[in-house]
Amino acid sequence: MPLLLKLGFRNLLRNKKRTVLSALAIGIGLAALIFADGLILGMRKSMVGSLTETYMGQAQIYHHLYREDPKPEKVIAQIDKVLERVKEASEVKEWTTRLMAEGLVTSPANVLNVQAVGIDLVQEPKISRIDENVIEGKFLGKKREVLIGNRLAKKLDLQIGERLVLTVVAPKSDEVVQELLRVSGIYRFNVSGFDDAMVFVPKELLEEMLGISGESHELVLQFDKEERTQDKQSALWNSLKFPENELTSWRDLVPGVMAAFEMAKATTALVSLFLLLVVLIGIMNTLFMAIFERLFEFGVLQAVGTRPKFIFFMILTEAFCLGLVSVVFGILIAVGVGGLVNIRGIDYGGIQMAEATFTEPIFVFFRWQQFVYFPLELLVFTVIAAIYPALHAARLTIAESMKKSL
Amino acid sequence: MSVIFSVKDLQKIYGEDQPSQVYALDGVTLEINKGEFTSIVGPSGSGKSTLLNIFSGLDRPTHGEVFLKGQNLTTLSDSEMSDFRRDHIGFIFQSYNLIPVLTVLENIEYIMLLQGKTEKERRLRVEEVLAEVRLEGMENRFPNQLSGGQQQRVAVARAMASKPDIILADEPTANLDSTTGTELVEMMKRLNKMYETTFVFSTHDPIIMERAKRLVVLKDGKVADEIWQTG
Repeated sequence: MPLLLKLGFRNLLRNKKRTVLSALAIGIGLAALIFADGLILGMRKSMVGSLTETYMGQAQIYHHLYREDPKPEKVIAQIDKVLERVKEASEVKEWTTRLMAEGLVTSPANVLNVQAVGIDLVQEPKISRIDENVIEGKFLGKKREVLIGNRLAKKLDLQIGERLVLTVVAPKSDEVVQELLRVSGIYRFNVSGFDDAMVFVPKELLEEMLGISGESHELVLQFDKEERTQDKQSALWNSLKFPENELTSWRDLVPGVMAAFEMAKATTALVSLFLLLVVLIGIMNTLFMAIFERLFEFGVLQAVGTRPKFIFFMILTEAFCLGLVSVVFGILIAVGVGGLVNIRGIDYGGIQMAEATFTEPIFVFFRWQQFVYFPLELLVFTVIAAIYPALHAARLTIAESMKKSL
Repeated sequence: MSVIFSVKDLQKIYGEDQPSQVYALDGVTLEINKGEFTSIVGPSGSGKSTLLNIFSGLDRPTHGEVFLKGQNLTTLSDSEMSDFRRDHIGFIFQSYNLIPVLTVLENIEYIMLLQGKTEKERRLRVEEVLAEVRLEGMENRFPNQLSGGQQQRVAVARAMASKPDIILADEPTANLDSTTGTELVEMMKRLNKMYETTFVFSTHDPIIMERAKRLVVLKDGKVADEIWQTG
């Protein structure tokens, strides 16, 4: 082993208690960095998961004017060709089509504005969690059934099996069309805008009411990887683009979520910086203590012909070795704490943040980069922190170091 | 005998810019021949330590010159002085002068390592000097596993290892009992005779003073007397 490394490691072992305490302090800093990053990643996964898997999907296709002005006649252009492409694309894991209309629901107790969504009873459960969120009754099964949110049920004072009237306007004829529907189930997403203002009906029923057959307003896609929504120049993305349609990812549909992630990232970076500064000062303190304890020894080393440069690098190496030990501690702590947290996860259930609602506990998400880049950063910081103490040691005059010298 | 070491009109003044100046050394002129076993003696504050510090280049004089093998040490830069010390001067300090995290072997080969000697050269030399100081078999012990006397013998071995021109020893027996101290001084005397290595001590110890060929008596920073002894 090179002399510097040998000296570095052995000098650390001279005061084991101090080394362990310092390495623990630095290691906890590293663990905090890894843990915070893992938690943000976990939060992101959870938020994206609840956003995309609950209802929205990872991408949606509309008529290019529909989102601006959601009129029933603005259906997806060339839906058959679009569907053909969707089915051909191996990257598309699941898909479903929806028909939508503004309408009124009437119960003996109340009349309310709602968004009626016609869903494909076979495809929809593959892509969204509407069926899983039914808290009373059951998912749609028959043509004249309706699913309503729990808050809407309360406002309408309706129970399972009771009836309501759905009223919509057929776009072609401009006629008011009404249907008497039986409440098959009550769902709860814990998201306002859903639970109090959306009703789900079989797509074929809404087609019939609107007088639109085989058309859709919304085509929802779920890819094999969420990352596919990032590259809009990809072959997949291009293959799904049609001139009169708009293909958009969840990132564009709920920009607030991405902004929240960016903010969380920036905050973490800032906190990390402060944490690293604290670590830096801690390392400097430890090294200065070690230097002051060994002044005579530095004097002896210089007296026997050790150059100041060698002493400078000796302190840097010592810091590097301390950093290595700290990295081991930090990784163990991060994995340990993360593992413990991941037994149950952190329950943010029902909490809404930046247009998304946590529907499941958050788990700390580890990835290899956290165990490479953060430790490397820490090692670099440790060595940087050692520069000042190392310069101090290298600049000591021999007479100063050996007060009881020759 | 040839002069190996000399100082000329050496002055060391502390607090030069202050009204109360202290003359630690005041016009010391001295020559030391190759193979001498010399002891610098004198009461506390007589300038022994200052003189030895200047001899070794650990401190610089206010005035005067220091020559070792014809090289004026006062003209060397700090780095040059480091290299010069490494190659020409051996040190033995009072105590705590071994690197505690290195084994006996590593302590002895440390200077040779700085000199860039090969591992084979180093190991051969370590074996030789360990035999000379009678510490064979202790190569892998750490300083804290040795007695005070053994530690000082390792220090002698380290000082000898790079075959320096002169060995400067500061109170090498101060922390040893008289038997161990006598053994150590006898051993150094033997090495001095065998290899003609020059030894210069700063000491109060009668054991060393009795065995020195020459005593340089310092008083108030001046050479008060020089005594040549036989034996």
